[in-house]
Order: sequence, then C-alpha cells, then structure tokens
Amino acid sequence: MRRILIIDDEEDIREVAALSMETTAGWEILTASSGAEGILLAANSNPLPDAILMDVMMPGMDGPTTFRRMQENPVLVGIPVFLLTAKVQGVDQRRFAGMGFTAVLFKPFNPLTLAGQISEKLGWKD
Amino acid sequence: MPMFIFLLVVCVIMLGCIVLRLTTKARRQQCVFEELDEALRRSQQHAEEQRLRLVEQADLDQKKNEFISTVSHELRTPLTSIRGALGLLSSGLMGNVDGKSQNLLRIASSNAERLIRLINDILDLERMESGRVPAVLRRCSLYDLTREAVDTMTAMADEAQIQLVIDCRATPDAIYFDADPDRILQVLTNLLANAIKFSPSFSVVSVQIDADPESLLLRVIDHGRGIPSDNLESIFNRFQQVESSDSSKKGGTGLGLAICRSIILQHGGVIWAESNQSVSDVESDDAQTTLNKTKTNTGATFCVRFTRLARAGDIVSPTTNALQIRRREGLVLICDDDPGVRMVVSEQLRQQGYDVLEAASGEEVIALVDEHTQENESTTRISAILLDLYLPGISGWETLRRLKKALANAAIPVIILSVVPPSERLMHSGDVQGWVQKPFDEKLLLAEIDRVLQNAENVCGEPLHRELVASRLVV
Repeated sequence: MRRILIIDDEEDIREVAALSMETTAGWEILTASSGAEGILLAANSNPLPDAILMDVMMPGMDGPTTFRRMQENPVLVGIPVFLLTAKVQGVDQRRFAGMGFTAVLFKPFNPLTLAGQISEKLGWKD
Repeated sequence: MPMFIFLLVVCVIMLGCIVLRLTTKARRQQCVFEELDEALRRSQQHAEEQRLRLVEQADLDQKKNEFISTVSHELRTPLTSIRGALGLLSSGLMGNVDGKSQNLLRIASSNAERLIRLINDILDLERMESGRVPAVLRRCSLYDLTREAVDTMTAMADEAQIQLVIDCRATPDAIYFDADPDRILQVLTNLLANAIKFSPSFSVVSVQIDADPESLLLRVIDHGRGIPSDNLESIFNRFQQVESSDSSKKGGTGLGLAICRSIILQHGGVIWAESNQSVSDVESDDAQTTLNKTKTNTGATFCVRFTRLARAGDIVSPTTNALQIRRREGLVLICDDDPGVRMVVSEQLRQQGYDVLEAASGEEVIALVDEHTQENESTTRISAILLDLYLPGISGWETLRRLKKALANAAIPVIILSVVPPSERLMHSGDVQGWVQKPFDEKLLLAEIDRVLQNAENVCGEPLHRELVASRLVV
C-alpha cells in the first residue's frame, strides 16, 4: 500500500485531501500541519512515504523552504514532492517551475481525481 | 564757448538717452530671462509631477495586482475544502444519500464549481487588461485551432444533443495568421460553450471560416433564442446577460464574452454579435401567388475578424482578388545536427519543389554559404537557411553572427528551427527573418518558408523593411 504525507496548515484541507486519497486510491495518509512537523514525521516514518504533498504558504517554514530542507536530508532526498497551491498566476507558476518539484497541483483540486493525478505523474499502475 | 557747452550738454543728454535705452533694454532682457526661467521651472515642475504620477500609478497597479493575487489565493483556500467535501459526498464514495440530499449536494457542488470559474475568469480578465502578459504571437492555422476547440467542446455538445460543424470556406493555405494559440483557443471554446448553452437540443452550431487577403473571418452560428438588438453590444460587458437569470441557469460567469473581447482586441481583431434573421418567403393562399416576407429570429452569430499581420505566403492576384499560393522553388539550406530532422525536412521540402542542401554543423553552413555566394555562373544562390540553434561546435547563434558579418551572406533570409521559443530580441535585430519552434508542424514550416521568401522578394534587400516584417511576428 502506498503511503502519502500531506503537509498543509489548513486542517480542513488536510482532512479532505486525506479522505479523498484514502477512498479513491486506498492509500495510507499521514498528515502534518507545518514544514518542520512534516520533515520530522517523514524522516521517522517506516517505511518512508512514497510521495509528499505540500502547501506553499505556511506559517514558519513555507513549502519551498521545507522542500529544500528535505533535499538536504539524505534520508528524504529521493522522495517525490508535489506542491499543492492556490497560487495559480503565471508569475507564481514560473517561480515554482524551476524548483525541482515533481509537479505543481492546483487548489481547489478535484477530490475524485487528485490521487489519479499523482499516480499518473509517478507512473504508478496500481 | 557757449557753443561748446551746448554741444557738451547735447552729448550728455544723448549719452543719457543711450544709457537709459540700454538699461531699459537690459531690463527687458532681464524680464525675458526671468520669464524663460519661470517657464523652465514650471515645465520642470510639470515633468516632476508627471513622473510622480507615473510612479504613483505603477505603485497603484502593483498594489492592485497584489490585492487580486491575494484575494484569489484567500478565496481558493476555503473553496478547496468546500469543493473537496462536496465532491466526495456527492460522488457517493462516502456512502449513499437519499434523493433529496443528493439534489442539495448537486446544487452546492455545481455552485462551488461556478465560484471557482468566476475567480479564474476575474483573474484572467485582470491579467489581460493590465497588459502585464503580452500575447506572444506565432504562426497558427485558424482551421486547426477551430478543430481543436470543437474537439474540446464535443463532450458538452453531445450531452446537450447538439451537433458541431466546421464550414471552412477558405483554402487550407489561406487560413494562417499570427496569434497566441492558447488565447485564441480560449475565445473559440468560450464562443462554442455559449452557443451550445443557448441552443435547443438536436440543433446545429456551425463555425464558418472565411479568408480575404487582409483578414480571416470566423463566425459561430447557433439556432438558439437569439439576442435582442439592444443587447448586441452590451453582452460584451462584464456580468451582462440577456436575461438576469441566465448566469444561474446556464452556469456561466458573465465574464466569458468580456474575456473574448479582451483577447481579440489584444490581437488587433474585432468581435461582435449579430442576430440571425431569416427572411422566409411564405406563399400566400390566393391565386396570385404573392409572397409574404416573414422575418424570424433564428439564433445568434458571433463574428470575429482576425488581421493576419504577416501573411503566410499568400499573394493577392490583382484581377481575381483571390488568394494564390506562391510557387515553391529555390535552394534551401537545412542545418541540424540530428540526421533524422534533416531527412524529414529535406524530404518535405523536396516534395514541394525546393532544392535542398544539408549541413550538420555551423561550420558546414558557413562553408556551403561561401561556396554558393561566390561569383560563379554554375552555382545557385541559397534562397533561405533553416538553422537549428543548439549545434555541436559553433552554436547556431554564433553561426548566425558569422553569417551576418559577411555582406554577401547577410541578405540570405534565416529561419530558426529550434526547440527554443521565438526570441523577440533576435527577431527585432533583423538577423532572423522567421522562426519555427520544434516540434513543428509540416504545414506551419512550409507556410513560414513561403512567408519569408515572399518578404525577401518584396523587400529586395531593404534591411529596414525586413526588420519591420520580422518584428511583426513577435508582438
């Protein structure tokens, strides 16, 4: 079973995204409300998450900073990271494009196709 | 003696007069200086005020953009939870709900979707009208774009049991124009969605394409309820609908047509609406077979006129005023390090009647061009060069620089054929006459070669004009 970590400061969004992926894909979902908590949770998770979904604007460490920290961490470095953002303007998209995320997904996401989008990007057939 | 005194007095008086006149003159000049000084000061003050106003305006624009961006983000965040929760509930994945609740969920869900579309549309419109994102024009085929839009809208049309038909009355070579394809697609899908929404089931929505030498005319014709004549213009205003209940019934945002107009204006085109009034001849009963004309409202037509900007190898025949295709002949040099690309392009060009030379590197290009520009009766001059930018050895950019350094070679038109998107700087420099981005479409490549060769013929080595033509490609 796939294990996915969601990092978002909005509790409602964490819950809806978790529920959506649990019910549509049957994945196991971990959630964290901040970048720091997410890094800690991911590093101590056994097995490691198969993919991480994170928000951009979070109090404390924002998404891109959290991502950079993960890249510096030898345990977490290979895990695919998706940015889940409500920032949809071209200027923001261009800013995110060069950062090395697996893909940028936009809010509001469709709860019925979110897991499918992730699987497609990662080439997961199950 | 008295005479002497008299003369002295006269002299003194004259001197006094002169001094007086000089001082008056000096004073007058002083006045003029002061006035000039005042005028200068005033104009400086005016310029400063103008500058401050511009700074203020830029500041205001910046604040407005930030505000819109923030509002959009802040609205999207709660909508994410709402859409997610409603979507999961109404899908039945959380367990079955009874019919009434299902209906309520459907209402909430579709309105959440509408709110999302509304936010997207507002953002779109603001972005367009602020002019922050200029349209990047590329050579496009209006037919291909229409085809794509129709394909996109077929699902919606099928659901509404409406047939979409394309009626292209222009020859395939006459429908090229310079446009931002994504935005034109947005216009076409918007117009089609509109037509489908207001059409009765089992009717046809047709898209007509006509071409004349200067422009392309696209018509989206439906057989719906039509538009009252006093609304034909106002429907392009924001949040304007023919009936106030339309936006809730039809699920539109009331911004679609405003966005269309904004995009078309940005392309230098025009968009307008017409009512289709069919005049039918009704035979009357009496024996004299008089015909009664009856006017019936049979739907609406949205018309878009695109200017072609740079024409795709079309020349206007003065007698027939019809579009003709340029005869394809001449020697084209293709430079690409990928032998596959060289083979495909060469084959396509040869089939069209061109002679082709191949080069795998910048060095080879220079050598071949030199060989063909020498004063020698037996060699044919090269008509155009297709140049890749990423090349082993000297790059495409460097090749271009070296080519343009030699006067005899500088006149040969160069078309960049690269994965790199068109560079405004290079196009404006006049060193590059055309640009086709890989992966490319065969028809687009041929149209671009036609256009560039046509321009080269018309211009006959006038570099200034060539620059102007080139600059029209990227606006």
